[in-house]
Formats: sequence, structure tokens, C-alpha cells
Amino acid sequence: MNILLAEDDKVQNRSLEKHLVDCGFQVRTAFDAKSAWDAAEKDPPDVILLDLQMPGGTGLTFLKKRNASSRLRNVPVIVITAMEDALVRRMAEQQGAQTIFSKPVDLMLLDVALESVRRKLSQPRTAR
Amino acid sequence: MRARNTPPSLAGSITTPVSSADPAQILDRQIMLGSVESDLELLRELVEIFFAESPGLLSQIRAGVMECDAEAVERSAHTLKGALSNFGALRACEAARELEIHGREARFEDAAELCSRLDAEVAVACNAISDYLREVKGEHPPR
Repeated sequence: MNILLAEDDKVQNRSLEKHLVDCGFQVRTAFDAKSAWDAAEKDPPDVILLDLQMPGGTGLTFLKKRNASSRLRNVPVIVITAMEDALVRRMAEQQGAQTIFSKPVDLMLLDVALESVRRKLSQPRTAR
Repeated sequence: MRARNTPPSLAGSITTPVSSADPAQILDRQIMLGSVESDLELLRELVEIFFAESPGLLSQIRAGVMECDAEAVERSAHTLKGALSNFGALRACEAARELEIHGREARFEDAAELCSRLDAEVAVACNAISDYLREVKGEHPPR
């Protein structure tokens, strides 16, 4: 499964990348909103791990653009955030974020969320 | 695989002077090791990244406060808070969170003082991390 990891905090980015690679995923990393969007559009991943607050644009803007994109609207997005604002989290859910994790991310719960995505991807398209 | 723990609430504890702070509030080793799944090699790598990045983030926060640039303060403090949370640096994390909130609300009246406190908390956390790495030098804790 291909994962795009969009996270500007270099410590968190490297930590998650290491975990995901160890789990057998193919991982691309981005450190700002624009490069994350460009990477997703160029080669749509199976799932996006998205920080809500990055340089160059918010995660909410990213989600809105994804919803308007025929190439990306079906790509699941898992949000990772240190934002505590309940309204922002609610808006992310309304924009189609599959799951929202607080930092530091509980890796076990992240694994469960990714397994859920993997199962959906392995189902025939009509059954999804 | 090990789960990471969410840092406990620090409500009220940040007012304690750094010198008399509970060591577990300065650096929660359980959180730190959980975030790297007890991989000390990865921890060393993340510490290197953090030590390289944190001075720049602190400078950006201070510059944002000096220029009353609320967005810059909020953004940089938010990023620093996220990085600190990986190490279980609870007091420093709370200080960054306070500045993030000040930035979000464009409040600058006591922001310079908060900056100084954040600098001190980050320095103490960095020392605690360095001490820990010296303690475990050459060790490989069981996963």
C-alpha cells in the first residue's frame, strides 16, 4: 500500500515514516501543503496521512481540494494533528477525513486505521 | 508494536519553576520510548533532527512576538509543540501550547515572558534528553 505522509514537523515525519516503512508500506513524505498536494496529484497514493497545520496551506484546504478532484476524491485521508480545537476537528470530519489522531500518534490505533483502509482496497470496487 | 501514550494534562503545573519541576514532567521517558517503539537508534536520529530544528523554531516564535505577527507565533509554536510531544517533554510542550494559544488569539501582552519561559523549558528538556542518551549509550532496550 502506498502512503503519502504530509507532516511539516521533521521529528514526527521521520518517526512515522520509520514506523510505516517497518510495517511494509511504501511511503512518500512531504513537509508542506503544496508539495503534498503536488505529490498526491502526480501519483495518487492509496492513503494520505495529513497534518492539519502545515506551511503553505491548511489541512482543511487540502481536504476541500481533494473533494473537488476527480483523481483524489476517493483517496482516504487520515488526519494527524496537535490542534485541540474541536471545531477544526469537526470540520475535518465533515470534509471527509476518515480518522483524526492527536499527536503523538498512537501507533497501534494508526495500524488499525491503516488495516481498515487496506481491507477496503482489497475488496472488489462494487463492494466498497 | 507499542502504542504511544497521550501526554497527561499539565493544567496548573507549568507555573512551577523549572528548577523545582518534577523530572517526569520535564521528560516522560515512557512517552519518549513509546514514540520510537524503544528503538534507541531512531531516538538518537530524532533527537539530532530536533536539536537542529528547535533553535530555528524558537527564533521564529520570538521574532513573531517582537513583530506582533500572530500567525507566525501560532504556526511556529504549534510545530514546536508537536515536536516536543514526541519526546514526552511535557512542561516545554505546555509552554509551547500557551504561546500557540496567544498567537491564535493575537495576545502579545505577556508573550515575551512566555518566550523566555519556553526557551528555558526547551533547554531543560534538551538537557534531560541528552542525559538520557548518555545513560543508555550502547544499550539496546528490549522491544
